[in-house]
Amino acid sequence: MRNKLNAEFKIGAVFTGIILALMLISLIYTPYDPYEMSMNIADKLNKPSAAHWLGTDNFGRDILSRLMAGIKHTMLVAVSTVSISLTTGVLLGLIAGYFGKALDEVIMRVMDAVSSFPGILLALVMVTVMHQGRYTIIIPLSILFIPSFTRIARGGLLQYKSADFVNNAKVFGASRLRIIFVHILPNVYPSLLSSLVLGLSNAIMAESGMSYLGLGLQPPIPSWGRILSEAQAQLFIAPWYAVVSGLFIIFTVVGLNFLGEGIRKLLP
Amino acid sequence: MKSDAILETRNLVNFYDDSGLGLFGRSKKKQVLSDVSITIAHGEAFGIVGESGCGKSTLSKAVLGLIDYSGEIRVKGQVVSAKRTKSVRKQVQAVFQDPSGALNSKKRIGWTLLEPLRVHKLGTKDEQNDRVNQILELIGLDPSYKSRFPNELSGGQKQRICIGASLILDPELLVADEPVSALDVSAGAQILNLLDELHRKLNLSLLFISHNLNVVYYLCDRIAVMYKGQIVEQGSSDDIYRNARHPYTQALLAAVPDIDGTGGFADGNAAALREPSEHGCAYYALCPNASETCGERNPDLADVGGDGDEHLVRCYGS
Repeated sequence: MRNKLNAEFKIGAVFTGIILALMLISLIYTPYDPYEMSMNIADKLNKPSAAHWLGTDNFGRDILSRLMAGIKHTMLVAVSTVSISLTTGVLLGLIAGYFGKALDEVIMRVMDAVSSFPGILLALVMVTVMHQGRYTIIIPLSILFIPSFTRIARGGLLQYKSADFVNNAKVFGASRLRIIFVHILPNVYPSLLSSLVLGLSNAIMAESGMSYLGLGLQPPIPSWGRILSEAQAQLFIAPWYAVVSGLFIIFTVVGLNFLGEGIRKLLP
Repeated sequence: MKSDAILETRNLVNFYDDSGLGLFGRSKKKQVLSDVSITIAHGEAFGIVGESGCGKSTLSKAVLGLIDYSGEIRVKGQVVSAKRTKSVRKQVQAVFQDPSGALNSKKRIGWTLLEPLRVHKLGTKDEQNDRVNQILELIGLDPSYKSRFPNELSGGQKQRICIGASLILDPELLVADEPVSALDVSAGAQILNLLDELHRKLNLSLLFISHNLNVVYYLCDRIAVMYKGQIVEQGSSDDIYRNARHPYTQALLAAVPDIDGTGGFADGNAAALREPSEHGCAYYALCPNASETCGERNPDLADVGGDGDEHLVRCYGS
């Protein structure tokens, strides 16, 4: 890191760090069992108190515990979505950029087609036709995110394709694949890294949105979006329920956005 | 002569496709090289001079196999195409104009120097390291440079690294495309001295391309002057420098400013003396002593050297 760390990077790192720390803690400890329901009516929709910091939900479960336990599922979906779409997208983008001509046209027009659908609609359709598993949501979200990575990889490749160091590599006889992956790809990393982080935040938003509509992670997994939709029903009885679950999502997304922006400014 | 030629080009022609973006636009083809034939002997430094856009870089790219061309290129007597085998590629290496662009900014110098050896799978790890150290010594840099990134070096040092990287495969011919024009005068002079030294020490053949006639004269045994994709004059450095026969070469020489201020400035954008002619001599429009024939038919290269010395000129007036 030759440049001075900027404010965005610091804020983003702190926010993201807090969320990740909470996730790690939740793996070994949550204040209460996030799945344990209570039959006792007195435990339902409690206000935040010393015993339940963020109150309880309509099944008497501790909201803080459920939100904490939700982080790992959200992160799992976000990370696997981004890894799948990053790998596929970068591969397609590099191929399109390097080989050009017809292949480039075909790949990029397919990407245009994918990104021309409203994201949520496409994901809705795919989730509906696919077999409903716990993590089915990952596949449509991955497909949705492929075009952005393809464009970045292709743009980066075109920027360096005719650079002299690439010509040099051609002159001493490096193979095409070696030129793409060993010589050019490291130069595209910085822009990929920041869009990777931004992709994580988008994936979290999309997953929450889908779960809110009941098409994301399936119950009883404590997904933030689902918690939010359950909270919506109790909005007038227990407003803190919706507010805290919403704040968790906002906190994470804002943190990742700052981090992504910070990385973009940090790397030349 | 022919047997020990390291590089020969015969009637090299290259078109630049100027069809533009229009889907229905007619494909216009602009000729960049026309019938370029040069021969470089073993251990010879061959210079090419000409103004911007005369096709000298295109010629170097064709020689390096980076672009398509028609005509024939022979490396050590063997005909090669733009798609080349590694063993052919190994023999012809390049140094480019801008050393910052020619080094991968994300890779350390040591990596850059090792890369050709890795690609050609030459030697063991230790032998490869020895070779890198040997090359660093040859270009006058100490081994600590291996762990540095290109942006930590000066322009001259970067160009040294580029030269080192091009020599690591022990090529027969080095194509240097304007290697000093992106550098300041003193760094450029050092690079020229280094190239001259390597040329003598390693018996390396050079194809040296520049717009600066002085630089080429300093370094090269023979010079070809290019104008609009054609060779207009070719001969030994002394012949070209002291006994230029083509009006364009004379104008180029007159454009070199002298220290005492006697040198003139030939204006490259001088008003044309007459309409350019499609079939005639390329220099017809600007030539001070063109005749009617010059506008009708392009002259062939003719040897005016006498006494065994080759001195080719493409001019009726010579």
